[in-house]
Amino acid sequence: MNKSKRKVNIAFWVSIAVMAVAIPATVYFSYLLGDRNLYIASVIIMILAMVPFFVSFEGSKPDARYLAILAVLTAIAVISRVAFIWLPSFKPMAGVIIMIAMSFGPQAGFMSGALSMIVSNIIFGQGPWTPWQMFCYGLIGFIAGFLGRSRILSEKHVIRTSIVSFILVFILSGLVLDTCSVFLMTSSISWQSAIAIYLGGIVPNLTNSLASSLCIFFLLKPFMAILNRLKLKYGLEY
Amino acid sequence: MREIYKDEFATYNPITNIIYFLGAIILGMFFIHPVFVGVSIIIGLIYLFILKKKRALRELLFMLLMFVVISVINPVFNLLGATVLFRLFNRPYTLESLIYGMTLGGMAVAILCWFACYNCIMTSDKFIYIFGKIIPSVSLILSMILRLIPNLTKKTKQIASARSCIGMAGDSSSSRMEKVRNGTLVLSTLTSWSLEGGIIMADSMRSRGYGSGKRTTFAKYRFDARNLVLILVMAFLLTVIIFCAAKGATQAEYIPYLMMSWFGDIYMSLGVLAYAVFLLIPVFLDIKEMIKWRILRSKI
Repeated sequence: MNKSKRKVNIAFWVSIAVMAVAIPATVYFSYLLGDRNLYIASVIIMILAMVPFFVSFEGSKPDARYLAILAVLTAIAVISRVAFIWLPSFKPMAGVIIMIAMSFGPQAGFMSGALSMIVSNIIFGQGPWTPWQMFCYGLIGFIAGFLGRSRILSEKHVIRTSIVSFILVFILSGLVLDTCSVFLMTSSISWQSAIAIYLGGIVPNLTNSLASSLCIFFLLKPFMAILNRLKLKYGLEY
Repeated sequence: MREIYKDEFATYNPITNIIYFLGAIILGMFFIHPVFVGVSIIIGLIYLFILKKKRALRELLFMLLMFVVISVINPVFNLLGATVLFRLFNRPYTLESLIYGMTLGGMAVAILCWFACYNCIMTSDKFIYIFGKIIPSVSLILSMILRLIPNLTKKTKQIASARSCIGMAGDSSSSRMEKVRNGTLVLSTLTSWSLEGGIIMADSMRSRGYGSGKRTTFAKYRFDARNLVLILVMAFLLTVIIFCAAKGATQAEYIPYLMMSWFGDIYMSLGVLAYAVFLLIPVFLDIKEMIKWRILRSKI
């Protein structure tokens, strides 16, 4: 069961190399164009950073079962966000994504993270923050996939998994989502305004990470049991 | 889940729609000149009110709040500028950086406004129509998810009512721990049920030949002459706008003194005009349609 067929493939590394050229080029052009194009440059960089993951997913020629399972699990992640819409910034979605990533690996983790964000924004409304949110949740899934492979996240250690996911979600949403606010709210980025925005983001990020971590604490065992049973029953090797 | 908006521009091909919105949003982010920002806000709001009628007011409230926050806060951090209005905590609060903040706040409002219009026009099937050709697997999975969400919501209700039917759903007297356990059980049932359904769907897809050849898609959108005409018009206007911007029409400096191109400059006037006409395209289409409808009705 541990042997996984779906490894990160060559297309991924090739496009990583291409992006390693394209992203500095974007930075250079925005530098040439002057100060107010920082935000546009940052959005372009976010989109470019997601390209390798999507290219590798298309390149791996996913079969119907993989697509269907990923679609069902991502839909469940989206529903978990819709269900708690009345509680501000309490979004257990990242928890569901981490569990998907633990079971199906980094690639599935990234795809379900990015797709669940774009789908929930189709419901709640897209905004200039969509690429950032997609990248943030995709990255949470991707890293959780690797942590799951290396057994740091595991269904046998519920407490440790909840704590590690809490830290993972808190750090990544602080790094990516609050950087988005910095670019969106200020133009001439100064240290004071940036620090003010990062500090202001701590409380919502804590709520969000707590929601994900609670979701993992309560759901890890039943959820992983269902997924393992599914794999056993249909002989899936993802 | 989402109402259909009666709008002439919405009946155009998704490619035409996306070019217009990309133009409006990207140019809106680029031009940091008060007049250009003002044009973008006013036309964006007009279009939003055409689309959403009274319900746009609620979004307007949020936009107003954002505008005030950004414009008031900018001078607190940005101390440069020649005209000091007053001193806050012994730091200068300058007119120039207040105006700069207002322009920035206006820009954020304009972007939000265009995104609100985008959300009315670009339905999920239009989104998938555009991306289906570039990323087929991703857009297939996207359309599966979009279809599954109402399906799963329905299944959740079925599970909950079945559980309450056999007296297992708990009631208002049940403790918090029981509620959590109950919710977990419903979610587990939902997950295993829908995953089994997913496997059946996948097997059905495979037996119908999924993956054996090029996948064809159904779309109800045609690319006809009126789309081509509109795209050519938009391309012409965008060229004019970008040409004027390159000639310095959108230049504005705030710090230390206000310095910007004004209407006396031919490129500036032409740029504003082209920008306004470009953004007004959907409004023009709606007006044209309204006039046509009145004429047709008066003939009866």
